[in-house]
Amino acid sequence: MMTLAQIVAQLLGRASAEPPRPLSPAEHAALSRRWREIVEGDERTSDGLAGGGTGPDAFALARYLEGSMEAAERDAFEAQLVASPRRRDELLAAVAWADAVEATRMLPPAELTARAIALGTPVAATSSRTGGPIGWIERLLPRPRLAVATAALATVAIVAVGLDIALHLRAPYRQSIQLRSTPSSDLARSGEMRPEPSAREGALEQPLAPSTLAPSTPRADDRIVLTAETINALVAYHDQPTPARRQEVLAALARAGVTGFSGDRVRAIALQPKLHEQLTQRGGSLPTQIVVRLSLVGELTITIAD
Amino acid sequence: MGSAASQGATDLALLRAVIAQQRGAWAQFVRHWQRDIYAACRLAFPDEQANDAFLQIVESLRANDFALLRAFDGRAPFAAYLRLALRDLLSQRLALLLSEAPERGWRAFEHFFKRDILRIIARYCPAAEHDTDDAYHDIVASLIEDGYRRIRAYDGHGSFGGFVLRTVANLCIDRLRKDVPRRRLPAAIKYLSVAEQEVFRQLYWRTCPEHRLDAALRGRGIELDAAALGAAVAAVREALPRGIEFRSEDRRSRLVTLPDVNRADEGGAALHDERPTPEEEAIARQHAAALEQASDALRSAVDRLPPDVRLYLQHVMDGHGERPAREIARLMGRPVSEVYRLKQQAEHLLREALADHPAVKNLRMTV
Repeated sequence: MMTLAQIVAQLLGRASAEPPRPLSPAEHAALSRRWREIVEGDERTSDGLAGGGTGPDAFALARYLEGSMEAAERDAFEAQLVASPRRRDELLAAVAWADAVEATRMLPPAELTARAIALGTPVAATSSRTGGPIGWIERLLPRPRLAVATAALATVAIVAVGLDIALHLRAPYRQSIQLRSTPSSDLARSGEMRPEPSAREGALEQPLAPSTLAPSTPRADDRIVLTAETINALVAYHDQPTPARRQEVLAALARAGVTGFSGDRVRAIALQPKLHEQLTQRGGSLPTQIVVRLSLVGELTITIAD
Repeated sequence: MGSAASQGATDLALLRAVIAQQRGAWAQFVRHWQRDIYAACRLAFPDEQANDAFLQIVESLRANDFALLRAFDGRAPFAAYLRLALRDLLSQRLALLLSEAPERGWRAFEHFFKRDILRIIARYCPAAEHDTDDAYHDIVASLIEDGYRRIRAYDGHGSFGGFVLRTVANLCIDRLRKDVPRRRLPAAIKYLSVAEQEVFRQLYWRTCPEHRLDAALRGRGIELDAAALGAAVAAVREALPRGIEFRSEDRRSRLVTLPDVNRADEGGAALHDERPTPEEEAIARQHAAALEQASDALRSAVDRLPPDVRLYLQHVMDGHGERPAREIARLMGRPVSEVYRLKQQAEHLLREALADHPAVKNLRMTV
């Protein structure tokens, strides 16, 4: 059996008391097993994933591998990796996959390219994204718990395919899907819409202290990531502040992670002038985060966070 | 602005245009990303299915009003996100194919996951190549058996790829725990063909039902038609003495070495008693206790490491101490120089925690 000194020496990559020597395959295997026994215990129970668990979120993983995460987010992400050998396996598989795609990039046959481009025929705008397929999916699925809320839509798209598969694979699951209900965003499914006043570009509401808000009105004061969908919805609303476009803004904000108040309390949306300017300029940088605040009088103000 | 963020911002502008359905944006998107998408499809599916998969995946990117694209916020290059999202999409398609057309689906499944399966096996069984081949075939046979029962247990929660990796890891753990000593083929079977030897293993060591034999052999890379399979089974049965039975590998057999009774010089020699002496047993118990205490010390020391240092150590050990720094840097999204810093920090902290630890000193004295 390997001594601890030999194990630690191998862990550190160099010998301490013993002279360095290459390990035989059997010693390699023994070392790995011993490491797992000492540090990881039974891998089936130590990874903190109940049942099947979820795979790494593609979006968060991409940012992690590109070194684009904020420090706190990276620490949390790495804490999950440390605790779970399975997540590390998935990380390895993802990296190997991404590198393989990079190494084997190739043009498809010209006919395939033409057919793919032809898919981009203009589609009629839907009256509400909260109805139709996305609303149906959101009603059936639990809201995913993600470190990055902006990946919710990506998960919905992928899980939609997974739903299809589950229906083919396991009959009992079909019933559980039908019975399952999901907490959907009140923001996106608000009640009657009021006639929309023009979006004001004037002075912004000052953030109100929590005590000034009615107890039944949770404060929405969160920083959220500015997604592509939110950008388009805000610009479209600013150009034409109709009830439909206001609903699209609220839906986009909901999917980006804004929670805590119902959409029917929103009487108007005010976009910070500087934010609108940055969103519509052709060049330059875009803000990465915005702040969404709902005033007592029902004005939703959206400002740059960073 | 870093290069990753700068590229992300550029990509974001294109995606916004696509979502807003600006003229020409979709065509630009396809032309820009078609290489990545097609490469992914070729990696996931055998040639003849890759082209179909390409169009299906492009449709998936448009699905639900560009749901996958809407979530992108430009904080990383779109390429990084797209490649990982493609893996999830393709693995989901694979699960569906396996359900609808098991034979075709299994070929695609093995094409997609073989590299991952071998990587996980290497993590648990860093041994010689032939052992890896055996382990691979064992794992594949387990995945195939009973109509792909283990794979079809996927219930839609989480990614299909993650589910497969977890299943394979569990099978590797099971295999390690059994740790059945490698058996020797009976002399009569050794003279048969490779295929017939494998038929013997499946029938007598793994108690594979005869009607499942063809699937079990396919898992080992052996394809026999019905006639050839029948002939192989007959050859095996004929080669064995009548009434012979073998225990399955689930029940451990203990082989006892007997003296060769035909050798005149040994005559009636008694069996050598290989049991340890009381003194040896006491020393072994003492050493085991010392090792356990020192292991606890190591466990505590590792638990106290900062997360990034601990993760570095995990990557080192998951690679059996042979993973190069640049590979660890890739896995951690950091420059190589920072990985070397983590290594130095790990050495320093562990040395500090263990060098003068009583349990470690005690272990050294018992060696």
